[in-house]
Amino acid sequence: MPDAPVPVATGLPGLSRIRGWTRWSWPLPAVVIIVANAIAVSVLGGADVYTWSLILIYGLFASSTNILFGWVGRASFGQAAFFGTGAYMVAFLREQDVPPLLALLVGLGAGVVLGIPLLILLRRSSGITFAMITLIVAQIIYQLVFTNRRLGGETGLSGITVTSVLGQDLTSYQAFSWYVASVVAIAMVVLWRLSESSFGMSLRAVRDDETKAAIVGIPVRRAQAIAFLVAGGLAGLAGAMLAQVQSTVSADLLFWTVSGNVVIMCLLGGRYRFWGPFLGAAVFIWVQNAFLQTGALSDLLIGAVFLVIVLVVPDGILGSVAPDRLGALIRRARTARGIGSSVAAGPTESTMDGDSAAPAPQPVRTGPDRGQGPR
Amino acid sequence: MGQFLSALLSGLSTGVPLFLIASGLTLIFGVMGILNFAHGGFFMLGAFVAVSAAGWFGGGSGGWTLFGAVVVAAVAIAAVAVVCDLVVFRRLQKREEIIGLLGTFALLLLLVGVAEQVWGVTPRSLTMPTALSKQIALGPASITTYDVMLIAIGLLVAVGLWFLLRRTDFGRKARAVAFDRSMAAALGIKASLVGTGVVAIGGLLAGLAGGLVAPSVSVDAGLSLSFIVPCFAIVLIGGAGSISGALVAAIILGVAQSLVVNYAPSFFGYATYVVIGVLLLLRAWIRNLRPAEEREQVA
Amino acid sequence: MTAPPAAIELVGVAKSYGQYRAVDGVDLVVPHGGLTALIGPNGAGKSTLFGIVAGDLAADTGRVLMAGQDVSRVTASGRARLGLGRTFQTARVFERLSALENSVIAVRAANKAALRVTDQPRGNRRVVERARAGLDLVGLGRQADRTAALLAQGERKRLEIALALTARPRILLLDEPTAGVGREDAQSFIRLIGSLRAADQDLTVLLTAHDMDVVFGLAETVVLLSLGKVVLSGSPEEVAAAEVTRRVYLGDKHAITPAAAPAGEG
Repeated sequence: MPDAPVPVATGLPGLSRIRGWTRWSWPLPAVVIIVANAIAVSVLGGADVYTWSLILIYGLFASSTNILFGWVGRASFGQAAFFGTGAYMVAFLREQDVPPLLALLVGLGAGVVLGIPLLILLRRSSGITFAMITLIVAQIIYQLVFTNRRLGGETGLSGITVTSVLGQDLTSYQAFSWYVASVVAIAMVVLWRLSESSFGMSLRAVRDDETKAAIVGIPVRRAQAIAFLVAGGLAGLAGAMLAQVQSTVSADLLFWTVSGNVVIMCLLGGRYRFWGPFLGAAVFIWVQNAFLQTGALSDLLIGAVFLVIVLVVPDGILGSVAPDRLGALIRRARTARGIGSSVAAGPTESTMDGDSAAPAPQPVRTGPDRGQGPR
Repeated sequence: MGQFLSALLSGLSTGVPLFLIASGLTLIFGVMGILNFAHGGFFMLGAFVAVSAAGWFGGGSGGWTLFGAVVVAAVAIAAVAVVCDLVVFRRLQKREEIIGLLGTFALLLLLVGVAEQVWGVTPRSLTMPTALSKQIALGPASITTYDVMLIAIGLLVAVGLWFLLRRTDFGRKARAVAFDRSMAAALGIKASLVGTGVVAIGGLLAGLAGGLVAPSVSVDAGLSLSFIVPCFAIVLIGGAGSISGALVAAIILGVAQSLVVNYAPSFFGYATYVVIGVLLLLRAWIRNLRPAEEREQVA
Repeated sequence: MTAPPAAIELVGVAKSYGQYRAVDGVDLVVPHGGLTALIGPNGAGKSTLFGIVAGDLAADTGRVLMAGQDVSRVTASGRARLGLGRTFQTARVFERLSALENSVIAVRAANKAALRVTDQPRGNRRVVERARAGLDLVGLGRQADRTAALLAQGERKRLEIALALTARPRILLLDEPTAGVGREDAQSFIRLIGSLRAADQDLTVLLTAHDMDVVFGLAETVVLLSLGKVVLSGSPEEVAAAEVTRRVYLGDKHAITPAAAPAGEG
């Protein structure tokens, strides 16, 4: 067999080939966040630090969404439900004397708990159906909150104050930023460990070939369920932090476009890279902020930018910087191999960037079936 | 009794715009495999164009003004849809489904932005023609002429679509492409052209819906965002590619909304979604009962 | 000591697609520790039958037994848990991951540790060694860091076999294992399977093949399928020499029967 040189970067962080990397790299995400925060706090002034805190929060939100999008391969259009629920939990607790960190935990827990009944609805859902059902359910939750006066209805709830955490005074933007950065740092380390664990690797296997994963012995449904709950929990945590930073919550947080935006953030930054979603969130928030000055033009420009990204840069920013030729190669390989060659084919659960025309032996039809004949 | 019947009838008319939007959505999804968020944008633009067109025709409350405005809207949005197909959908079609979804979402945001630029952020309105505001009595029930018009148009479109898909050459080609795109291409059918045709029809219907709805709602960009979700649900519940399914689901939703408005107005905000939720649960339950292999076709 | 039950047994299995009878009443026995090759021209029903054995497809009638146990209603992944390893005609691997990562995942899954959240398998020496050993077994040792999507066809198939072997299956189902690979790869595949069977007398293999080198190099039993039915079953030599084999492959029109051969015999 001809010896092929040149290992190519895999979808996972490719630095794993450095000796001992896996064992000692675990605190790195925290270091990155803390250092970034230190720089931001010293370089940026006043309100910009507030924007930076938002970037941290949405970065976490996007990273949690990417557990489903980039790791498992399913786009959820309903993560705003978890995000908003976490925020509202904190709002509900604002009159009790609850330590801020505990409030965060409540937000996280609420996110997990909310996911449990959803799992039942989502059994056997394929890509598009999954996106649609999550969209609709999240929108139901939005409507419930929006029309409910006790929950603040349209105007929302305000008066969430966090004055100190663990003895530290939190009255300035900078102090708050350190608070947020600390929590996000820990969360990103947790995410990193998850990514590197057997669980994380199994999720990627499910993404790349669900049938194969099942055959190899991965409990696919359970893996997807756990991923869903973890994603919801972390989104709830992010939402809880947002409530503390913003001091108010409103039903806007639950609107479906928030879910859509956060998925686009993942795509934008690179869904197959660990820091992709975070970077996407940063770019999104920055763009939104920058165009806010130009008034209504912001919606137009954001839409245009997103569209260009989706059409032209499939692997996102990080995917292009470390050129990920995989997408194109997989596409070509599938077209060459795919059409008309497989047995008992059904609709393809295409789980990666590429041609979705390649049939796969999969008799159980799970999606909005577009109608295909027997092969 | 009379109130109930009236509510039913007005529910039918509420369902018509939903049906018009959803039928285009489900057609596009069946034939091109793309779930088109931008359809909400088409609907919204249809409403805006109708408002402006009515202004060109002199405004006022003549029935013909609305007629002209609606026609202009439908045609204009069909054209916009075709442009979107050429620039966006064709590229998305080759990619995985979820990228298609995200792409149309981005397109929707773009269309919303465009609308805000062209028409501004303050809501617009279109005067309801006096001819359409009359009440007609049908036995114990009463219904407005506006509702009658909507129901009539809904029926026309349903029949027309059935005819188009079942009895015309184009319809046969569309069903072939929906069934198996590569096979259809191998048989000489130009799938991308069929796709454009279907998008044009979808755009026409969405624009039509927008124009028809314009007199009865406040026209602003939020229209795109609020209508699209129930319509997605209709596509999901009725079955991808199934016009009849979309019709039934739209009617159920319309009637449910109308009944709630009449009998339990405090629930109005989320009644639609609760019904959707129930229907989804039903759908999930029915799916669990059916055998694993199932096929749905454009019909 | 009683002989172990047949590794695979099909009893009266049939499956139709509408009017078309893909598999029309098949009885088949694959003995424990044996290697059986399923052959037949295209359209004979090999793929459908294979799908039924693997658990991808449900037969309309009949039963599927694995080591005496009725698995007709068990899904493909359920059968995998019962010791059925398999490969696909177009090799299925985890595209975006390296060969080594593919193997690591299989190793963890085989240890029922697929969902551990606190471990770090790529830093675990035992896991990585076992994963590498799996790759070495199929000759992919040096490709360990290569992304699976970038492997050549033959290498992908070998990776797939490595993944299938990781769980130490009792039965191996190989679907067209040498389809699309070059001669050298086909030969090394034959050697690989040969050595696996030599090392483990209890390993049963059922494969479909068009490649007669594979059939003659490996098979103990050959089963000839035509139009959904088992036409002949026997040793490779028997099946090769049989009249009916020629007819099945060439069709009655083109098969040259001894009676029609030019005079000059005997």
